[in-house]
Amino acid sequence: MFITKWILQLDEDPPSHIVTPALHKNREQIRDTFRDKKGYAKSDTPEELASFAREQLRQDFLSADVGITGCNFAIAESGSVTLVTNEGNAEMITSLPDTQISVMGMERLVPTWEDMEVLVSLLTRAAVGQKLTSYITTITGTRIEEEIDGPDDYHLVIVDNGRSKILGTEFQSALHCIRCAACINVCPVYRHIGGHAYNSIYPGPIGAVLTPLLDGYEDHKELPYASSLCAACIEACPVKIPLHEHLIRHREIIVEEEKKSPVSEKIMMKGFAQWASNPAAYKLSTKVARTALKPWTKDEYVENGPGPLKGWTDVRDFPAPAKQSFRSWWNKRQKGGEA
Amino acid sequence: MAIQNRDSFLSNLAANLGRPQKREAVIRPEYSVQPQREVFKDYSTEQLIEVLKEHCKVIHTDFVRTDKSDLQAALVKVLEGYEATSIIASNDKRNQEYGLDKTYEELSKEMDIHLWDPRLGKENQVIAERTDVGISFSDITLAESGTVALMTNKDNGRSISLMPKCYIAIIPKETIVPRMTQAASKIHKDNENGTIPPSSICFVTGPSNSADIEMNLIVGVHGPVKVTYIVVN
Repeated sequence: MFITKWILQLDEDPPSHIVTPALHKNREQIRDTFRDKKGYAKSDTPEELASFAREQLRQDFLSADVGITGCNFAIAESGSVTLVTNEGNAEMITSLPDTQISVMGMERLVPTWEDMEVLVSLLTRAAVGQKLTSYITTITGTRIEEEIDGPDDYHLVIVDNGRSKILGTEFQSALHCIRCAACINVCPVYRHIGGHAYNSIYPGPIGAVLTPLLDGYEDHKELPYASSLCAACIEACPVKIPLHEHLIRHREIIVEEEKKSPVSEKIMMKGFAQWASNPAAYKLSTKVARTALKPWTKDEYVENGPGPLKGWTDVRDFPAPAKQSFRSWWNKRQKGGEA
Repeated sequence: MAIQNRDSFLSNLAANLGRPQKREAVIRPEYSVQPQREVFKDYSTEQLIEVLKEHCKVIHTDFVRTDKSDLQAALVKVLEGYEATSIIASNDKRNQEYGLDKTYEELSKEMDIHLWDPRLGKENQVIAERTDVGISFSDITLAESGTVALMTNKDNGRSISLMPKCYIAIIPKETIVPRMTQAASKIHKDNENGTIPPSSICFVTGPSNSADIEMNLIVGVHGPVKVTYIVVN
């Protein structure tokens, strides 16, 4: 298994990134985990940590009866499963134990080897910037007669787990995801809050799109708001999933169909709608705004605004309303007055 | 082979897509854009070898080029560099063609040589685990990524390239193609013509590595720590 996934397993800690799962841990923490759980006594240099893990896991690989892997791509034409790794962990797991179980998301399927090749090239480039990772392992069924390596008993489990509900919907393109994490790496929100904040094994923009689809809006209604809609994710996505458009649509559904926005926000939005759709109220506000804000205005800028303005002026100044509103300027101009 | 829940799975898909279950095969479209076929398209073998040699620097792999007649000397030199005392190698038909059978015979006077032997069963894996160097032939070599495609058979186990600390790939010059596209196309065409792919095809690109601990690159994780490619004319 991945060294870092082993670290997380020892620590009973969930992953925070889909390509580098222990991104949130530093070397000192990893050394402490090894020391506490496995009696490790060496330094915290990554080389020594990795060589300790190599030694420990080798014994597990050699003695295991069953190997369990995921599946990056399954090739329909020959019934093959492709695994993309750098450490060689998938090679070990698919070579040594006699029984193998591969767990495959139902959308991992490609028609032919030629299609697999295109997607693997996209994946390795977008995930880690490599032409190909160190190991692209393709296995086709059990070992054949007289072969030694590979399983003699092979099980493929195709997992739906909510994916089929996405088929045929406006979110279907989210199933194109090849799990490269490019959207996660460029996301300014992910970079600030980290992977655990998403409360899902899929963090970042793709997580914010997928998690509510797989697990419902109830527990994940904040996720579609965890985005500045800057669209960096769409630019990075190798399979061109319109991620931020999906996020906007999620927000729309949460507010309009699921009615899951907070009560205070509902009341505020209702009030705003009434005020903004009443010309007299609107006119009056623009007229008195300048006078009303006078106590907080200094040199044409509001510094410490009251009420809803406070959130803005806490971090930057707000320009004071102009002496003359656009409407009154327009009316004057129409009458032939000075523009 | 048993397939469980197939019908309910497929009818669920059809229902979600709002159409009846498809009974006829899907026809694969002709892709109008295929940039992968343009990479190093008209390169000669010599040019591809240059690409491979350059890329070896990126993937922490030593590159050696030699003639068939000098293969033994080149191999011995690499083995000396690895301070090898034991070798596991595939029992490949090409061993004779490349004179490796004689090389192994001579080397066996001074070190442990094990040729993959299906009669020994799992013992092969145990030997591979404690051996210094694994040696096998590349079946298809990808210049762009510096990758050797290794096809398993009864005389060539996957453990050879995986378990020992060091791995040496013998690359016959004629196995070199521009990139993975050509390898995938060949396997696809063979499959269409009725040749099922080997039980495992491993595309190996240099030594195993990981950058998962604080993004520091570590070369040599579960698989080999050092790798050499020997391109043979």
